[in-house]
Amino acid sequence: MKLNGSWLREWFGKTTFGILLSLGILGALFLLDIMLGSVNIPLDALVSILTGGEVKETWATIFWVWRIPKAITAVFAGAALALSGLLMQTFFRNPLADPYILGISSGASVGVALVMLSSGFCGIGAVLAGLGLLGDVGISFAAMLGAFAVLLLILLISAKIQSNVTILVLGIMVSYISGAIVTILLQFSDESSMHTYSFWTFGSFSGVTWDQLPLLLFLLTAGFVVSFLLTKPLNALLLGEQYAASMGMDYKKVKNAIMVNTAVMAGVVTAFCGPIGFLGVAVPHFCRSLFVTADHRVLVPACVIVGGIIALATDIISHLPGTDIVLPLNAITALFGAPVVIWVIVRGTRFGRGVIT
Amino acid sequence: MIAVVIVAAAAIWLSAMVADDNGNGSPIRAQKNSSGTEDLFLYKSYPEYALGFSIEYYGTYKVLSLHDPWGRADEDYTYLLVQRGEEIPAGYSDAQVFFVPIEKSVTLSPIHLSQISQLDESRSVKGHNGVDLVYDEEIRRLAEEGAIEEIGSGTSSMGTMLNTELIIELEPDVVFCVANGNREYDSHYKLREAGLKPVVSAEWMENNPLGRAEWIKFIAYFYNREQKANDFFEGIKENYSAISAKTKTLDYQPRVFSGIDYQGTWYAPGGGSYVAMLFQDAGADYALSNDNERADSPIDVEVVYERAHDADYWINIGYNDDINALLALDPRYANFGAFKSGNIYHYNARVNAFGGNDYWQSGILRPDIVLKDLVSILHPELVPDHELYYYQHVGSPHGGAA
Repeated sequence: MKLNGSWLREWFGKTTFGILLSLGILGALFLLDIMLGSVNIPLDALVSILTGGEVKETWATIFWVWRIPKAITAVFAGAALALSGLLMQTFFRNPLADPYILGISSGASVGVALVMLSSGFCGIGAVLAGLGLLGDVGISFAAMLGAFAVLLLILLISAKIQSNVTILVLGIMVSYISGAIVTILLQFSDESSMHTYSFWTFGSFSGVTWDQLPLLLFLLTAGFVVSFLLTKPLNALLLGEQYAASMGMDYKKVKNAIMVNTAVMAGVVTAFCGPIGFLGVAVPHFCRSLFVTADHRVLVPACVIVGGIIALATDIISHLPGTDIVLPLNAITALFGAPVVIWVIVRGTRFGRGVIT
Repeated sequence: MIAVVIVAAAAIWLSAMVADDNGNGSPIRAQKNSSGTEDLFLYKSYPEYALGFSIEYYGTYKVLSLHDPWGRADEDYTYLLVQRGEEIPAGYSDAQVFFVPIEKSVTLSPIHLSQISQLDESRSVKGHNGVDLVYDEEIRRLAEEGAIEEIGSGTSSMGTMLNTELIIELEPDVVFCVANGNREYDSHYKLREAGLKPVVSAEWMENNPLGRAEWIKFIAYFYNREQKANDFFEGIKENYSAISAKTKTLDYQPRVFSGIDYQGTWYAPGGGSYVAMLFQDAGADYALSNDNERADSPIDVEVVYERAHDADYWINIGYNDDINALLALDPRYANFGAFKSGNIYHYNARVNAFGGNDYWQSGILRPDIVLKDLVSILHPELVPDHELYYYQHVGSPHGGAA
């Protein structure tokens, strides 16, 4: 068995085995994520927490209140980002497309900025807060509102537009506009709101509480199910819109389904975890190389599992087990994730199986 | 013997007269020093706690050195403060020259205004960045009269936007800026490019509450107000040590924690910070003092919970106003013992309509009152007559102001 990656490829090439193996890794990392943390909870204590035995109350609280929701969020958020990245890459036939390319996260950040920065002495936020429009709503709700506002805009315009390259440009333009609004809000906000806003942009799985978890899980699971239903049309899209249409696919319907699904998944994750970058663009490539396929029947489940794996791994690293420190999640996803993806992709091209989009 | 007393009394009377003169900002020509040259600066003031600056006096001028708190050698500045009407000494080619006492100033941080106001020089301020955020009543009145113009966007970090043209028009002798670890956010390069004379202050990087207050001397050098600064600071120092002396003999030190969590990361002052020192001097056991980081250090929320879940008090809740804001941010705060008992205090008793908080303004100059507030919270029996000034109780569920 040579350690040059080809053995790995052979193993994973047998799709079912690969999927099962990665499910196993996902489970192991989930356990690792709830076991490891800045506070060292010994294994026997963890066992008694789970079995309801006698244990230090602090540890039980840390475990149930912080670690479990965090780990569950990481799995689902990672999966959703990877999936929406896959959908966008296939839809736009662009290897650089990511979940945010439609301008969804930019819309979310405008929502968040309006809520967070409204306490300053700027006009817009204060006026909205005064009207009770955005004053007391939670950050996640504001983010979702912003994301769906952008989605609505994109859907309205794209109904009149044939080419999806135009939609791509449209999304990027929306991002610029949103960015401009946030910049203006930042300009007129006080330092404290500015700090809070920048913390939000760091991204984190730790912010989700048990109260919020059901909504997050429900919306994301719905997104996963729709993605599974879309595998056939997605495969057809790989051969081009015209071919897909000639196969009897209702292109408009599929287009809208893909966009709404992506927006829901990316919007929900951004709302609860902040704008987490990198995962969405990298995991689909990683999966294509690993499973040596462009078939969405494989890629959709693969992205769900591998997305969860990468999210859990980055979460574990960002908490630097054994230390008191936490690093911003967004720094970790790119810092540790990018080299791995580069490695996989470069190996892929050497064997003539480059990134397929 | 009697003659000696009379002479001494006369000397004191004379120096008092001179001091009055000095107060009016006119140069003094009273004494000759040992080497025969004139010494125009009768009152000298040296930093005792502050580490960020040092001063040397030379007859007709003073050399004020700023030590960059981030250790960047090219950000150490020398300010040459020459008495008005005197010649600029040779040999200081790198230094920025100011003729003192300065007459017109522009300030970028409200801390400067608190310092200047304490030195009775508010009238010298012609422009300020963020007039709305100023708590000081005299300054606000001057601004309403139009004597102080708004010259910026109010923030003093990332987003500082200054109306440089307006500042140039005001022709200030000095623009007081705040040091920033990131050159990009430091306005003083831009100002210097525009031909203005920026002076950088860094009181917020001092790790000793008295060191922070002592920066009033830094501002005083520019106004020849050393005597006032000394008197003021000595008073603060005495008050501070008198209060902290009371807490030294206590057997019981309540456990205190501080800061807030944002999405799993807790931002709290480190064990070497001025906040930790205030807690210690107030007779508290700071639960998060393990690390010696001086600034806010990001800690995992798990660690904070393990160390502070049974702490008695939660003091300083970041950017939140009260318990309701905390719950809206994260309902898991309710797991902390101090939250359940409602022992939460925050320094937001004096906040103006625009969000300007006096704790960050006059509070920097009055660590003695801040300390007294903390002692009053933790050991009320030690300061029975004290009413909270900067701090208030924010631990009750329906608005903390009650």
